[in-house]
Amino acid sequence: MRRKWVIILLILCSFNLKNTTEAHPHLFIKPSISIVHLDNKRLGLKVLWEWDEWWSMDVINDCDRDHNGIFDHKEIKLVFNDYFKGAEEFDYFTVLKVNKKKQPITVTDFTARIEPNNIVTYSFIIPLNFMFDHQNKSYHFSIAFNDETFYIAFPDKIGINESTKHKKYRNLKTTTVSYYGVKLEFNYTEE
Amino acid sequence: MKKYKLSSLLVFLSIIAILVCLNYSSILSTFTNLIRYLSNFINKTMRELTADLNLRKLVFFMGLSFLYGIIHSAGPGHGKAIIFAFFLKERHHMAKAVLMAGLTAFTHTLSALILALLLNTLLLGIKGFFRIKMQGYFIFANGVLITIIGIFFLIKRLLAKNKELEEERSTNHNIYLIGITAGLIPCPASLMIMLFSVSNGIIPLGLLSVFGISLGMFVLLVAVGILSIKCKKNLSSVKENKTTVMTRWIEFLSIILIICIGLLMSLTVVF
Repeated sequence: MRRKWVIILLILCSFNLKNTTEAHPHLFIKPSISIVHLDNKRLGLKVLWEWDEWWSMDVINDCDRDHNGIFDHKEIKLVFNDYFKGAEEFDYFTVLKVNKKKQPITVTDFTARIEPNNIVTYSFIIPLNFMFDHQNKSYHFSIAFNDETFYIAFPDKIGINESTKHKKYRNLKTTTVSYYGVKLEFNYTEE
Repeated sequence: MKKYKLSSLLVFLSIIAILVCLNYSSILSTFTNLIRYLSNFINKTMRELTADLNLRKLVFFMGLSFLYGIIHSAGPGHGKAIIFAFFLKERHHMAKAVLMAGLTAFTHTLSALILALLLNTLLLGIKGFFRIKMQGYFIFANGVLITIIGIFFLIKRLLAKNKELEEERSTNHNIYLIGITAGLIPCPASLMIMLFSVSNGIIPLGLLSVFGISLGMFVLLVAVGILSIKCKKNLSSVKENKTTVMTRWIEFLSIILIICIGLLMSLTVVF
């Protein structure tokens, strides 16, 4: 009887082997987003990443060369080259779909800041590859942040940085992606 | 009393199996938040200690690192799976679980210390996301190594006669082989702590924290090893004192498990 139990347990564990071999995360990002107008006809997704203490300290130690607690233009370039550009081959851990169509992930307007609590935040824009149609009242967005290497976790829900009278984020739905990722879906309208 | 102990063990194993087999996103989310909280707490305490070093805070810091070691090792990872599979493959005494856990925890931490030293001296150009990529290379290489060891075990098992197999069980060679291999990937947590402590000139503090984390990791791995040895004992025929058909099947299954873990580790990095 005992043997039977142990065998059943072993078989159950074997079925879930992939989970067993996954690594656990060591870095953490709190993401938040907002939809911005790049010009009259194009939209962009503005992303804000709030890093954890360890990564923040690493970036500050290495890039805040004058130790004044502020990243100047040259230092932001350092952050970009040494602590951000490398994520390009992972698509910046982002999967973006608008009206179910996958958007290519390119990044513009990168900037980095040291917050008063010594936390580093990155801000960048992902331009959307379609013309904004003022007649089309609603766009369905699906934004997922996930690191397939399981090194970085996005443990919180994705925040929304703005909601003005004209811009509406409706039917928000947050789900988890893979093990340590997060996905936000919503309908976006402008009035 | 013995019956009671075995029932408790089975209940414990059942809970673990249920947790593992469910798509446990909420459990994982709680686990991730806990790791994040502890990791940030270590960081905060370390900074406080840099400014004001006192014994009470130092002891607290060590305890915190130890707790972090246990909890972060309790998450998904290949080390526990390999140790579990290994002790199902071979019959060993409980003391061997301590040796195996010690080897794995020590190698995991030592490789992080060596890497931190290299990153601060010879490999100064490797920063940020390139370190994450480097971790991927380590996982890939480690996966290949584990697969090779698994295949080696399989060939040896297929060629071995029962008598040879019994002799093999009494040696420690395989424990060293698996123990060291399972811990070869540098511990990212220890690496982060050491990089920070080296760049801030607080190396002794970093070493203390890393020691606490390894100790926590060691305790958890010992528990995994003991659980596996107990499972093996339950599966083996004690009365007959010979290798039964079921024992042979379990041995094959555990070797296949080791090969699968190695393959999955490498394939996850590639795809």
